[in-house]
Amino acid sequence: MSAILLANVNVWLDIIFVTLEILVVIVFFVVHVGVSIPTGRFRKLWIEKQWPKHDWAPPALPKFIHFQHLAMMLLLGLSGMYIRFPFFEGGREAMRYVHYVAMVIVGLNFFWRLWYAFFSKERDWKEFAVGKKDMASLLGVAAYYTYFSNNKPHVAKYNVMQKLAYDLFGVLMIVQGLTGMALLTQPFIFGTSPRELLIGWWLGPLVGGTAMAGAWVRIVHYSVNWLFIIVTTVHIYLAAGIDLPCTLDFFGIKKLDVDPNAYHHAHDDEHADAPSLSSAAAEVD
Amino acid sequence: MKRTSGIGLLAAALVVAVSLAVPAVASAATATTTATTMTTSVATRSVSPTAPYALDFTIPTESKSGCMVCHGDKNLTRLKAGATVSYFIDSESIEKSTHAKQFCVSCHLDFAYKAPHDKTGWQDTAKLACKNCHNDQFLAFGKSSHRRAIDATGTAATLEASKPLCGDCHGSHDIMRISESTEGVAPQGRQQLRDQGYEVCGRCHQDNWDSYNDYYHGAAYKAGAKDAPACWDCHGWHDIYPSTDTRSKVNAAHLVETCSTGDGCHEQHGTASDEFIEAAASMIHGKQQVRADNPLLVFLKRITDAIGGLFDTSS
Repeated sequence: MSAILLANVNVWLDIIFVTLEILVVIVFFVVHVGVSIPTGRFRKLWIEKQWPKHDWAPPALPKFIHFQHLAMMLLLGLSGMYIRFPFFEGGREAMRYVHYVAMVIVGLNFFWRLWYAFFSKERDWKEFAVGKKDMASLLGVAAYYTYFSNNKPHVAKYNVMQKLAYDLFGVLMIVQGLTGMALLTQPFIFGTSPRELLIGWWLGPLVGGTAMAGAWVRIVHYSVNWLFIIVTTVHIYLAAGIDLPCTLDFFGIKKLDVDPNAYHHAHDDEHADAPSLSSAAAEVD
Repeated sequence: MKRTSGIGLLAAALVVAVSLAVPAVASAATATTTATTMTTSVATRSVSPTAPYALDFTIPTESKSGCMVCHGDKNLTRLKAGATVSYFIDSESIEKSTHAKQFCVSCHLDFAYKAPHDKTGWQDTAKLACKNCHNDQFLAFGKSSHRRAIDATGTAATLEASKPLCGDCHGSHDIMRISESTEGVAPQGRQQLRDQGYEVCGRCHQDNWDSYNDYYHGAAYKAGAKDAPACWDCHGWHDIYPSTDTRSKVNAAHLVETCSTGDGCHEQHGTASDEFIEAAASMIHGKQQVRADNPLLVFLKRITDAIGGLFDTSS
């Protein structure tokens, strides 16, 4: 039974996630762009260059961490996909090393960002905390992005969907790190392996042994990898499509124009007409 | 006038040189043939794809160089059944092989010392000659499902004749060492065999070769992953049996043992349970069928076929 199940689950996941990614690309890069034309948002952004205004510019350190994170996540995705689908000859050993090295760098980067968020002078963790006001604005933000409304609620530097997406990235990072460690079978921790330590003692007896637990955890690791790809696809679309100047600044390509008086109102106001961007939020998705 | 006498002198010198050289070459040729104890009529030798050739092997040769006089020639070809067949043997590959010190006739036991030395079944003799030295391997092979039944008749005989002999899997003149040598030389033969998985197993077991494409075994092996198993790492080699046979390494009764005892496979801490091995093993050759049966994939394929059909102008 589990024999057929394991093969089926793996094949289903391949098909579902590839289909989902294709759908996400179509929905955002074709449908969402398409609808932005008759609603006037496309013209205001890309022809009239009325990009969101900013009363701040991203500091250097988060930009550096973000760039490093992006590079390592690309390597992790590429090498991980190669390990599962070897799409050229003779690369398995090299790709494994790439995966391990990128994993270590991305892990260190993650802790560095946590330190920056909670313990540095700038400690910006509150920018990512989802409060009651944020949750109350959820439907409004969703309505704005789906063109049901032209009013985008603005309660903080990042809107609630941004906050949820960034927090989700953090959770996925932890899950991916743990499931990735659980795939290591080399006994380098006092004679036992990370797999034994992390899942062997509790998941093993439930699913039919440590190796079987490893097979299921690999499925989770693979699925989370696809969630990263899908959420990042949306992230890239919104970052480049909604706030290109901020994205260019983030990668050091062109400095962002900062207007300290861009916001003269309290953060719990609603923007009367977000597409006009006369008082648009500094939204960077 | 001056020029004419110049040309005349040059021609005369050429004639003298040739007349001196020819006996020298002839003498050298005689010396060579004597040394190799092979009387060869160089004048009648032909490498034409169509013309017959004639060599006079009046005295047997045990020397490789004797055979290589002809078989070292890249132009040694013949036209057989409309195809040009090469009889060239690359001496460099022999020198690199583990059999470099063997004589040609050690394997070509039924070599006919006449020309043309056509003899039905000489290939089978050569492919089976391994048994003369590698007796244990031959005995194991003789019990396996690759053993040829000698009493088969009709279509069964044809089937039996299609079964491989030693040389069909191991190759011929370029066989590298598989076991560790006493000098500690790395066994290049293992990598050589791994690189030729299709030629060794796949060309006869095409379906099994095609279906061997799961994520971490088949697809990885075909992409050259050194830690992915070749066919024989699971199925065994000389003593190979069908998976339904209880003697087979991949029979359900032996799967855990087979998967657990490979070089760096699933032996880690004895974690390979029955359930895991059953699940993983069924995916190794089963993923292709699972994909073929997947309803979403079937549906998507029908859609793409239908779209493709709209633009198909061939009908």
